[in-house]
Amino acid sequence: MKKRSGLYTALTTVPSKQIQLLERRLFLKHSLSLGALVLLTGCDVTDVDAVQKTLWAMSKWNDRVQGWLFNPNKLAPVYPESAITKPFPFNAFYDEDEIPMVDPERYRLALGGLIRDKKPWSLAQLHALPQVSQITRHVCVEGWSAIGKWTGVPFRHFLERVGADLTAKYVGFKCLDDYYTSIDMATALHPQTQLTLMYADRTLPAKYGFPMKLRIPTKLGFKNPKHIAEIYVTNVYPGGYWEDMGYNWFSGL
Amino acid sequence: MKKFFIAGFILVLACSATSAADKGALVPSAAGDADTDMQIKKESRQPMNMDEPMPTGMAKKGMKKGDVKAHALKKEAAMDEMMKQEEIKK
Repeated sequence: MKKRSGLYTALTTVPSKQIQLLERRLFLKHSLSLGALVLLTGCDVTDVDAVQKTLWAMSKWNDRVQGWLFNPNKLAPVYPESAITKPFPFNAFYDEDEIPMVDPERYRLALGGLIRDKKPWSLAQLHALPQVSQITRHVCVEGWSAIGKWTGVPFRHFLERVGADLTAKYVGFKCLDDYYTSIDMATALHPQTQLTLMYADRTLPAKYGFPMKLRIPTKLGFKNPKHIAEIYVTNVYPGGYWEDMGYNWFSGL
Repeated sequence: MKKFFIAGFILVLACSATSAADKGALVPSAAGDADTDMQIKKESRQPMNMDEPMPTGMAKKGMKKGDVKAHALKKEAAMDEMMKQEEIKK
């Protein structure tokens, strides 16, 4: 019940212009789905494998188109403090009393793949990096959205600092709750993509991803991993949990 | 006499602080609020019930919380080998 009231608050704070934009986007997406269905008419729909393969191919094609259309300099809308959604909703594949416990003293962020300096980072070292704040909208694929204030290290700065290969295609994330996902390098280098350490000017609460999450205001919510344990850079397509279950990988807004 | 009482008071305070620190109540933390948040949650916190259905609207019928870990392990095994090869080539 508590969750529902949070979502209701979140939905009522969506401006009508934003809803119109979402509706237009939904219309375009539905048009693409219709296109996919038209293509499927050439398949034997009783052949589940063939249908799955066609849908995967369509989703991959969708990823490529979104990659081409992505403008690395276009900023996501920002909002005043008065627009912040209270309470900001909790959402995960588990319940709130199952959020992973993290000891801040023992926590170390691991680095892997095409990164020059792979030494692990303590939380204190991460907090010592220059930080910026943003008030942006988190949009969930489930159909709700909420605005929050996030503070952390610009991800581009962090990647440059550790000597990541910025020409690689993907940045992957492994999380302490076993969740995993990945993003394209262009999004990783976007000025608003942030290694978030704080929420509403306070240490990031456990329910929003303590000790650290990645905030990407240009992508859907499930592309914002929480409780990050490891970051790696690669040219091997890493996918992600929801992406491997059929959700679109790029999932741009 | 007054000095004796003040010294005694400081001694009692110091002992209380040491005792509290031993119990973890006064341990300074970089995490601050998150620590408090976690301590409050600690009592109600329970291990993830892997066989329960996922509570999120993203889940399809039949998906369980434990599926994420199972897929993560498979993915890690598959990615590790390919990424080793990739680093060697570099």
